[in-house]
Amino acid sequence: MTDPTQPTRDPGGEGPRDDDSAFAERIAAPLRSPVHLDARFEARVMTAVAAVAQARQTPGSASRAKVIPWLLRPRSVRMTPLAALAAAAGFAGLVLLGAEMLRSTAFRSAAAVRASASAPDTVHLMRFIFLDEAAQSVVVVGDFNAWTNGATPLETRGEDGVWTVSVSLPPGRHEYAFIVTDRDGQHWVADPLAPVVRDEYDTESSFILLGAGSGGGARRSAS
Amino acid sequence: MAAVLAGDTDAFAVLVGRYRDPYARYAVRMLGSLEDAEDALQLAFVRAYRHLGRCRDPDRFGAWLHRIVVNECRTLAHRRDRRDRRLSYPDFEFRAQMDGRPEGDALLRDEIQRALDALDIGQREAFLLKHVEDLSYEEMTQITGIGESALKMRVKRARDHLRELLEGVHHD
Repeated sequence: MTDPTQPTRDPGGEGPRDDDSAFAERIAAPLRSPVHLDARFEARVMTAVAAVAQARQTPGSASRAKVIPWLLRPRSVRMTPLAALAAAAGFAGLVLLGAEMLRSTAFRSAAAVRASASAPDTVHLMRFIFLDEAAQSVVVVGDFNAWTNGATPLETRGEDGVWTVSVSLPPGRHEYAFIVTDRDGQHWVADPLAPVVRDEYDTESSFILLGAGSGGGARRSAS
Repeated sequence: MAAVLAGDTDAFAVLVGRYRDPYARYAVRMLGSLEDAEDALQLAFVRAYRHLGRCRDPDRFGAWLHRIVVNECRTLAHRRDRRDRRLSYPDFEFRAQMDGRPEGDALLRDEIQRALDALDIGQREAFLLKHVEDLSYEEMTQITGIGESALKMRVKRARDHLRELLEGVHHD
């Protein structure tokens, strides 16, 4: 197998015909231009790695404290006016599909992008990731879904406990927490690597600030 | 790698720094989005860290990681494919006027990327590994777990499909 830091060219003799090769090369050559990731990419990965290492070293908390914040970075997405209206109306029951719809907007044709540019709104597409091999289900609750248990489930491939979901959020301050179900029941889990907020019952949640300003989100109800 | 296995978590940063950009190119081409590529790579690196003990040959860490990256990209591509099927898209009209345009032309690259995005995930993966990453079919088999004959078929179909998508603008 090839190590990309030591590139090698494919030896001849097993490739396509010359005309196919020429065509493929014309397609492939522009795609070989280098790609450089965000300068903070490494820091995000190492934060996640440190969280995994910490969870390994903490007896009795192996299935907790694994919320990974590095994918909480915001993404600004231009929305069509209709999508912006939907976002402003709230996210209950819309979160998974909604996030994907917004994301897809960015991939639509140039015409669609131009149309939205006349009335642009910015939302932040947030991806929550939770690592828990023992979890049977994970949901995120927050002011963005009226703290509704089950409204925003995380998905997993069921292999090694990686749970993810993308949520579209307007700018401002958002509180959230995770509800994890495992064989011991349901657990309320705040993000250990994000700022903590406590409600009047001393229950810990986390919060994030998106974009300019911090127009606070709704407070969590008692349940 | 030995340092990481001995408990030096910070040493993993060296591996991340070494492999992030080479694999970012594959991930971006496979997923058509820098954001998705970052997600796939982040998951791949964390997965690699968690299972580092399974990489028995430190000298082949890069190849082992490559397999994880390819798997993550494939998984994310399938998820995105599922999502996109729920949405209606206007037919994209390919206008990739390739002749005479420099390879570094960003618009040309974007148009080719759109054509790539239209491919079946397996074909796109095979095309990228073969023609962009310059792997041999033997290496591709090791990475993907797919037999050589099937890979050759996928590459051929990918080329045919790309030619079809770009037909009328590409003349040999």
